[in-house]
Amino acid sequence: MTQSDDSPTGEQPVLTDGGDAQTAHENTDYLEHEVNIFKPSTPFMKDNVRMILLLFAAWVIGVFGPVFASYFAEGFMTETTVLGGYPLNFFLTALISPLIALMLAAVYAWYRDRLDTKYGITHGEEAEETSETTVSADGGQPVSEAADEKLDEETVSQRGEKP
Amino acid sequence: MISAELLMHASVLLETGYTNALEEGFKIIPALTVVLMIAIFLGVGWFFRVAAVDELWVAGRTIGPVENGMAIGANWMSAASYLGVAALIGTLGYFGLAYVVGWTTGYFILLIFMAAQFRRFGKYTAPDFIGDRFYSQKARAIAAFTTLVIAFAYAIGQGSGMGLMAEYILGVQYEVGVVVFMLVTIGYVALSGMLGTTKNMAIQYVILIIAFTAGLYAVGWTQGYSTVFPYLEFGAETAALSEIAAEADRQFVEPFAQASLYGWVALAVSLILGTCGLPHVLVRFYTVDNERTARWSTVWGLFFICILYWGTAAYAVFGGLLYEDPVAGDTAVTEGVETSFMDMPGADADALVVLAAQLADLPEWLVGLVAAGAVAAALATTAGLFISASSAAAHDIYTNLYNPDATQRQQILVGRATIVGIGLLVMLIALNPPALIGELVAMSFAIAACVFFPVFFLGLWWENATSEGAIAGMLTGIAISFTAIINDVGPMYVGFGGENALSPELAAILPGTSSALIGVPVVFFVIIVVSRVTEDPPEDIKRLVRQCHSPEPMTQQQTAEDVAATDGGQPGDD
Amino acid sequence: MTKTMYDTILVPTDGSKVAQKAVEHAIDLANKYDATVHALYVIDTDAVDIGLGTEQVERIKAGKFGEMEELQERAKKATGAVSTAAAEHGIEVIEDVAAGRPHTSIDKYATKNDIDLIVMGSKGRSGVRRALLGSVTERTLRTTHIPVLVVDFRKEDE
Repeated sequence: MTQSDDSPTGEQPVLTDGGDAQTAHENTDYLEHEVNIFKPSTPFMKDNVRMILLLFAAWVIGVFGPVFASYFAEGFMTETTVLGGYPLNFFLTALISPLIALMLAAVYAWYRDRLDTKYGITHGEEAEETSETTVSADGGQPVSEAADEKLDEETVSQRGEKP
Repeated sequence: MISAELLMHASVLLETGYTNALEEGFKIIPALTVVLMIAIFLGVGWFFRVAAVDELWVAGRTIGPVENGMAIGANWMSAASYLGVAALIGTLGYFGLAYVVGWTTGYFILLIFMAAQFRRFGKYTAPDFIGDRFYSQKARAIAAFTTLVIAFAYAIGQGSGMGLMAEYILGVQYEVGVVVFMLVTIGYVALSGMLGTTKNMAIQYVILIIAFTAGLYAVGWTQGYSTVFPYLEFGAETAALSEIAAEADRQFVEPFAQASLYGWVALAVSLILGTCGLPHVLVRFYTVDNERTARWSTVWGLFFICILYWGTAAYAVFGGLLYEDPVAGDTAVTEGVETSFMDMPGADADALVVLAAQLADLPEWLVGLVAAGAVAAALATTAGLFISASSAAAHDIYTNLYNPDATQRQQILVGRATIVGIGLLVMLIALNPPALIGELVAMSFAIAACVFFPVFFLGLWWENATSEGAIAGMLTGIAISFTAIINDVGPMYVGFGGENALSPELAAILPGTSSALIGVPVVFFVIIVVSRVTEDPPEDIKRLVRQCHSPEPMTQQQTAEDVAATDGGQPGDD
Repeated sequence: MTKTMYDTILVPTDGSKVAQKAVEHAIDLANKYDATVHALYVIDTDAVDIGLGTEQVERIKAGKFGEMEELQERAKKATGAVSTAAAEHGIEVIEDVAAGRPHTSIDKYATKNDIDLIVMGSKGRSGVRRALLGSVTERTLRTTHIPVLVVDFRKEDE
């Protein structure tokens, strides 16, 4: 298996096909890869940042589009009416821009869920992971979960020591 | 951009004997409604306070995204959203819509760039984050100071709202109203706190949105403006109002009558980036279990915020129509003092939401409900701001910088003293505020945008941002945003400059409410350049940042520091 | 071994000098009665509320205390001081941490752990300051049914 300390410049583990995203995720030590939004250094980050920038572009259009359109095509924007009388620019800015932001937000959250599934990341089952890794980390470097467990054990054992 | 015109009109009105349109006089039912609302919030807070902590180490009930979303919505439900935005749309027309856009769409930016990462960092307060991420006590001090200023400016707007509503509900003068409600708020927060639990805030949201929306529906229905879904039904009214405005030579829907394209964009950008830089917004995410919940909470939060904001334009339109032609009561227009609703005095503008209900001759209990909602919104927001200030003072300044061995008792003392101090100061300034509610709050957003957003963003997305860079950046941000604000409000306090800003040229490109369009890029530049020429952050800080982005789920009892400090959360070597 | 009156003694500590004084008395008693000493640090949720924000109180109440290292360290430091002092006399100390309103938490802990005697320090304020600031010790005194020994801390002790 690939060693966990990849070079800090972020070489990618070799990807095979089928289940490669998950394998890539498991093989990546995220703490060894530089965080820089313009140079995403892990496959996961690449996917994430790509979507972020895409949706951000859509957001800019949805939020600033109406006002810039009002600048360049003022007549059209103020004279066109929708839904019984709203001037178009008013309607888009007051009602549609917030709606677009809301929809984009939902899209991003949904996409991140999909990304998590693709890379085999789960959020609700940390408890099970903890107990497994504690067992397997016996004698090795203390994994943080184990360190915390130890703290609990200390407290418990101290309480148990009654004469 | 301060509505200097509005302030000028105020003095004109005094000469003519017209004060404002709000019906004065003590009203028992609205007063009781306020008391009831506040009692509910206090009650929930009290129960939370005395409930014992059963299990320290074992995760109990989790908070779901919908509930947390409501808390985010309640967080946003201040006097500025409830009263101020409608006021600005009503008097500034299309320019006022920049406030709608600025205070809603920013949550998307927060979601994609900061919510989850901040959650993983796992600290306590915003100055904590800055102090730890940028490994510097100086940075922490600057952040704590800025937090205090932001809370101060934001709270002044709330005090103003309280004073106005007190005129209607209690029938007292504005100044008395400010004093009464502010003292109540100070007293409550200093003695008991705990208004900010998720459950309490969810309840606050429900109560306030009902109060707000009931008024909207009732006005729309009784005046024949709308039926089941006012948000999409006020098109004809908007067109009508626009014509009325045009008759008096004012422009309602014309996009650039009140402000240039630059002014509009600058304001929207300031508010959007300010959303992502407010200290008390980001700490909301610590109450959820994991990043996934943090993300979906933000989505729900934005939804709940939109429900409020979609109604503000409707209120502005209905209010404008009724101001021109009320069913009952008199306004500056009907008395011939002003020619257009868009010139209504500031006090009427800020009370437009309640005024609309009153001018539509709705029953007193209903108008009172809307007014009570405004008071409750202002009070709850102020409480949250004061806690934000007290924690900056007690935890970040007093304990971290001055007396690391401070006992809990000392912290409580410092915190309470801060609340009383800042409360009295806010009360003093709110007696004669330099701008409309929405503008005051927008100024605090501009500070947050210039000072905090850049360091939050780069702190989370660029591991090589150094402490020197952050300090230089924050100081630059303070310089820019403070200058812009002082420039705008200075004349009121210094005595010269007349009605306009100290330097009108500066005010045109760097308005107090909108300094972020220029400020943020400048600060980014400063941070990047200074960081490049100073030594890289230590390795453990870099790992900290990486951990904030790692998709590895954090176990229950972990923060980014835990994981970064050891092997990185990987299972032991083969 | 005959059962003595004080088998278990609880010393609530906030890490201050006032508490230290009480610890001395507690250790002396523990020696004479061959008692076990419990050292308890109570995280005052009011202090957390004002000092860190209500979200943090919520975090504690949701059982996420394990995430909050700084608070854990404070607790450990305070209770650790008791252990160190007691170790010199060969007395064993059980350290624990709780959260909530101090006087209620102390009472709860004492009841749950069959404490026979609570030993607390008090700064002995008088007059207005006593009225304004109150005293955890006083409130504990009034809340609990378990015997409480109050050790005053005076200026001379500093």
